[in-house]
Amino acid sequence: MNKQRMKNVWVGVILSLNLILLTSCWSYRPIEDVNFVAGAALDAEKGGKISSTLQYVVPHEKGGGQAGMSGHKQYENIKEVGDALEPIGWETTLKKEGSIFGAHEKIVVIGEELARKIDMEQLVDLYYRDIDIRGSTLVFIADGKADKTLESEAPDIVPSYRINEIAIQQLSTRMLRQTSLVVMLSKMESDSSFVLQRLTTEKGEVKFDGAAVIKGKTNKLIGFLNKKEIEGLNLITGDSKTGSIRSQGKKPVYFQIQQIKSKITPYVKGENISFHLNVSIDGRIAEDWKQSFNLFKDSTLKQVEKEVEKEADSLVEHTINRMQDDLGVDIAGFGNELRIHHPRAWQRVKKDWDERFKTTPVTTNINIHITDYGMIGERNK
Amino acid sequence: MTKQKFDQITTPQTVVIISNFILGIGILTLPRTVTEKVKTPDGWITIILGGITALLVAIIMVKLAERFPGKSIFQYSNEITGKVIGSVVSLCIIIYYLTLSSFELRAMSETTRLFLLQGTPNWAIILPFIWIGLYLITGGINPIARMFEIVFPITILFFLLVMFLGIKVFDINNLRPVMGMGVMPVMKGLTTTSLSFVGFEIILIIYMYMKEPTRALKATVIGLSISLVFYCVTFIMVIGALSIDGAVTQTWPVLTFIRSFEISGLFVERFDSLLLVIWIMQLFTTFAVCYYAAALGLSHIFNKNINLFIYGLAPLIYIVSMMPRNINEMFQLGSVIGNFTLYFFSCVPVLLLLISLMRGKQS
Repeated sequence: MNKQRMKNVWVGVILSLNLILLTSCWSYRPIEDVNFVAGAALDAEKGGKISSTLQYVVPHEKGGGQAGMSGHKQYENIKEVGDALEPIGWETTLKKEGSIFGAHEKIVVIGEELARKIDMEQLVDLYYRDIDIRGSTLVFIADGKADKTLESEAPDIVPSYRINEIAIQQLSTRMLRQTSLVVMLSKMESDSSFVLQRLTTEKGEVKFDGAAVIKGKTNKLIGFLNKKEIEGLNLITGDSKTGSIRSQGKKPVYFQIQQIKSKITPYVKGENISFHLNVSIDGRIAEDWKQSFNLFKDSTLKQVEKEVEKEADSLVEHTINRMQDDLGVDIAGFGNELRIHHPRAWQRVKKDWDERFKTTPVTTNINIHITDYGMIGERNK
Repeated sequence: MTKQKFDQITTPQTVVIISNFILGIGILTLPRTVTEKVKTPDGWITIILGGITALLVAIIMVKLAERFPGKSIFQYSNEITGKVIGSVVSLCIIIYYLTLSSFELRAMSETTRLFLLQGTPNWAIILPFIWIGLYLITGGINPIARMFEIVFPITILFFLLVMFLGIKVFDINNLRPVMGMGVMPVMKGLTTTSLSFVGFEIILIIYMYMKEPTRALKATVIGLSISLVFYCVTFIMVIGALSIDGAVTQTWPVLTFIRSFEISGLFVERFDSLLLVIWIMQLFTTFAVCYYAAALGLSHIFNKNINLFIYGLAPLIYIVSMMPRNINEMFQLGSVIGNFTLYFFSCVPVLLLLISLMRGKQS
């Protein structure tokens, strides 16, 4: 009996000790005191300094359930200037209460001027080193100032999240496949040139428009591609799922892409390197402005296929010319295919591959395959 | 003999102990350490070859242990070579396990502090670990084996889940070409990958506990193969996502890989904490076995009760684990242990086996 009571006392003592010991987490931080960074924008400032704009998500004060309807601004942009990202971060804590929490950062936008001036690898060192910021963060280049892209007139919108969503969905061939920090890391470390999505601002709203070309040797911005050239690039790489191609003809016929399969085959003969590009695209006719047509007939379909092929061919040709003659860089992964199929030849040429690529012949072959044409098959006038 | 209870473990338990022990902190850095040497995406072939090398050594060890059923290496090394040399060998093994357990502890604490508990001091992570380890191993080999049986399926389930979710960022082109530069690069990393299988030598100690000692070889082979699969999957996924150029720049490539994707639509988007949690369990298993092996060795040498040494070693392990002043010294400690293992465990068991064969020693 007595023993039992002693046991009960001990259990009581241990339980009440637990109350003291297990009250909270060691590194407890109330969520209201933390600034969640949704995105960041980097710009060049006077005197070789850089500025960083951090976009904080503003939590709703009342009624969490009514998230979409408050009409308030959902974000707050804090901008500071410094010579690197770390001091800028500390500087912002002088202006706004709460510590910076980067684990939910979705995007980084780099201004054009800064990207032209500074080696990208140094610029984003902090993003790789910091353990808060994730490798899945997407990278963009802004046309002009980057901080403009993180603003929006529309209520109930966090611009960073919108940009992130558009990039992840990638609904059109007129934009690039998303580039995350991790993807960029392997490009920069292997000294290969690459492209990043460009953002422009029109009347205060951001738009995906064109691509920024980063040269692998210097990791600096050297030029842009327009939306049409991106279409060509996406056909070469096959890095796109949906989009459309206009057929070459007086009246537009639009071909909706359902699948792109592209294959780059390198050929090495002694010192000579050449590539053959084979692209086959499946899709349907989405819109036809011709006055009369009969798509029920197979010959008409073949005719349209030919016309679309011509257009696709010119898109690809144009992009390749742009890469070889104008920009002088390989951004479509030709070098990578050479590395895979002819590793020894690659060892010889990888040092100045971009230079070498300028004069490397590329032959193309594009196949369009129309699977169907929707609800209208014939029109007579 | 010592007074401790002579427990027995089943063959599956032996398998689980071996593979849990092999999987330690090494896997988090493996893609980097291998690629640094190999410099082509062929590291996975090197890992397989390393596994085979480890297997050959393991066979020798099992053959050695089979000659002395019911005894640990600490006891039969004395019988084979005499008291003096035998004690030196045993002491080397004890110091090795002691340092290894401290190293695993420190590495665990470093990764935890970096990724999970940023404000927590090292001692606050390490001390509970030692206490819980102490509590576990005072029960002897059987509780250890049973705990491993619980940890092991959880590890497999979550590990494979997390790795295959990463398929989103996986690009097969990063792993091509296969042997593009010939066989030479593959061979260069062989030492590193063989070392990553260190841990199977525990069979020299747990052999005496096996219920069916005839199946020791089978158990070792299966245990090694499980770790081999883990290593290969990790390497392939990490290099596929980061490419060889990216992987060599990262301190913890596996953690970088886990952090490079998000899965929307599932209950959780991010899996880094999940992986770290199972990894802490893996490190705990490695730590506990090391700790136990060191204490057991001392008790066999001095013929005293093991509990005495279990409590005695705890502060020592703590001190050694706090010795590296920064992360580079920690990695250095790791490579010192690695080099020691390479020379010690590839030579000593062979020598012991040869001597025992020549002198016809057997019990």
